[in-house]
Parts: sequence; C-alpha cells; structure tokens
Amino acid sequence: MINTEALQRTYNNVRAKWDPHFEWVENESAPWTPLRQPLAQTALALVGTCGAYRRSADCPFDAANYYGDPSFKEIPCDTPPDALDFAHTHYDHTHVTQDPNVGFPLTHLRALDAEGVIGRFVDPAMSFSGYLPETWQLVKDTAPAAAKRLLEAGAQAALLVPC
Amino acid sequence: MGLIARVLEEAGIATVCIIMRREVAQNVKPPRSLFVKFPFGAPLGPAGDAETQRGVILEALSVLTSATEPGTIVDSPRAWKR
Repeated sequence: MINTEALQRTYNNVRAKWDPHFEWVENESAPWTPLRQPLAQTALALVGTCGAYRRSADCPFDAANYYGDPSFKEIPCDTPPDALDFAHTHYDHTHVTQDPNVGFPLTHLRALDAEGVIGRFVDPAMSFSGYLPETWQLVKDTAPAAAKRLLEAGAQAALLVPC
Repeated sequence: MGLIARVLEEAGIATVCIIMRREVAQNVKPPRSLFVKFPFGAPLGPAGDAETQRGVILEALSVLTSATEPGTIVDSPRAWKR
C-alpha cells in the first residue's frame, strides 16, 4: 500500500467529519481491455466525476450527503456548456462555474469528433459526483449500469475526467 | 473515479483516466492514467484556456493509444501557470 502524509490527512479528515468507516481502496492489479482500432475509428465516451448536471433537466446530485451519491446522469452530447451546473461539495467550483469545459469537456470532444481525431463522440456522456467514501454501490450497481448504457450506445473507449 | 474505469474496462471498454492524486491511483489501479499537477477543480487547466484543456485531453488520448501495461501512470509535463 502506498501511504503518504496527504493520504493519511484525507483519511483522518473524512473519518472525523463525514464517514467514520471510510477506508482507502486498494487493488492488487488493474483490468485490461486493449484498444482494438485506431483512435480515429474509436467511439469514445466521456465520463466525468465533477458532479455535472443539466440545470433545467436533471435533479442535482445529493452533494450534501456525508456518504456521497453513487448515481449517474446521462448528459446528451449536444448539451450547451452553459446549461450545466455542478453538485459536488469537495472541490473549489471557481473554474468549472466560469468554464464548464474545465470539468466536463463536451465542447472539446464535439470538436475532436468533427475533426476526425476520434471516430465518434458517444451519446450520451456520463456524469458522476466523485466524492464517495463508501464505494460498494458504485462498484456493484451504478458503474455497471453506466457501462451497460455506454456499450448499448456503442462505446469502445472512455475518457474519465475528475475534479 | 479509478473504480468506474475498472468497471468499464472489465465490461470491455478501454479507459484512460486523468488523475490529480497519483498515490490514490497507485492504490486503486485504474488501467491507464495521465497524472496532471493542477489544483482540484481544474483538472483540464484554467477556465478560459481552451488550448491547455484540449492539450490535456490529447495527452490522455495518447496514453489510451500507447499504454501496454495495466496500471500505467504517465506524468503530464504541464505545470500550473497562475
């Protein structure tokens, strides 16, 4: 286990303020799916964890919940950036509020699709809210559901953007 | 976020994560990662700096196409300029 002062500080902080049972996740190895075609022929999905939601179409994530909110939202790829808002209480929102592409880069992925850099921008994009000290429901339930939706939408690869 | 990448990868979707805490990724082990030394809340760079944001995305996509080892972490050479 890699343990640093910064990890220990976060561990103590989360346990003291929000979730007394918080533990860091540790895995022995990583899974692997090879990319089977060039990027220019790859259907690429966007998955963000900055808590993005459509102000006039979605309920916000339950950002105030001490245990986080493991649900996800489907964000249509043609959503204008200024229709997005962010529900996540564990990072400074200055940059994403000014420029939503900092955390949920719909404009950039649309451009990469139009320019042929990627084969296709998979519709919809997927949005999670990344503060989640208890991860079991994400791993067993909501992330597999998002994977199923992305496969149905033809995704071959995904770019994951944090906050 | 590394946990979501692992679930997608196990379902047959090749993933690349942009990460901001290297030691967390070393423990969680997403399949492919690009580590950026930017502050939380600005994973792709400063607001209004479309060139940096696009550049970070292209760096991540280069990790997606070039990584050969599960658990690869590539360090972005970019520094926060503000």
